[in-house]
Amino acid sequence: MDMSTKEGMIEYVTQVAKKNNWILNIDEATFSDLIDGLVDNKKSYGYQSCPCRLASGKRDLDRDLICPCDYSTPDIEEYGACYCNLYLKPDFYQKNVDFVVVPERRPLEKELS
Amino acid sequence: MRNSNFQTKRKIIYKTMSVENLIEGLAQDVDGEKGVEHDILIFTLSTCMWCKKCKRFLDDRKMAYRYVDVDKIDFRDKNKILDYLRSNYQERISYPFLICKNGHVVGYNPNKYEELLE
Repeated sequence: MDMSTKEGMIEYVTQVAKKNNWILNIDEATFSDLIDGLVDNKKSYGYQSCPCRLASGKRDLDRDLICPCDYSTPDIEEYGACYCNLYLKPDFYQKNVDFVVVPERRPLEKELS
Repeated sequence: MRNSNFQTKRKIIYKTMSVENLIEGLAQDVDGEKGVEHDILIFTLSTCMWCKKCKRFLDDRKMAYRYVDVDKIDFRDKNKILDYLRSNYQERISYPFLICKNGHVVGYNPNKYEELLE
């Protein structure tokens, strides 16, 4: 799959969601914005860095931010959604919320490195 | 020689330029019928869905604002601005980072926007 295209990125995140027993955000505009952000980062940096965080552009420093980021599993477990709200817990929409703001779990020293 | 003098001058100007002036130079204006008195400035990422939601929130209310896409600026400028935000607001930086006359909001938070921009 070619993740520098929208179609390829959708295929990739669909596979990630399926593998982890997550669902994808169903809001069309939000989902489209997230995919566009991932595609832009893939084109800019060569890897699909989290679109909602500032990447350094150096793969070694951004490794934990490559989607699905290292924090998505504990965030989905605790908040029902990853930081970006791309991946959600299967029962997310039963709570009648459109989105949830997930606090930053990434250690500050990683951000400052 | 002339080129070298020019480069030196540029470096001096750069070093003495305040971060406020740097931000003014980088900020993109979005016109709106309302909200000029709030002097809204947002630090955003061009790829960030939360930042797009924040801009849509303001656009829907026809509010004027300025924004800086932090991921699209020069490395040195980026570090200067991030240091400035950390030292002035004592906050962990996440996006969108909205500053206005009545305060600041870190992250997308429509309820806080309503409070500050009413």
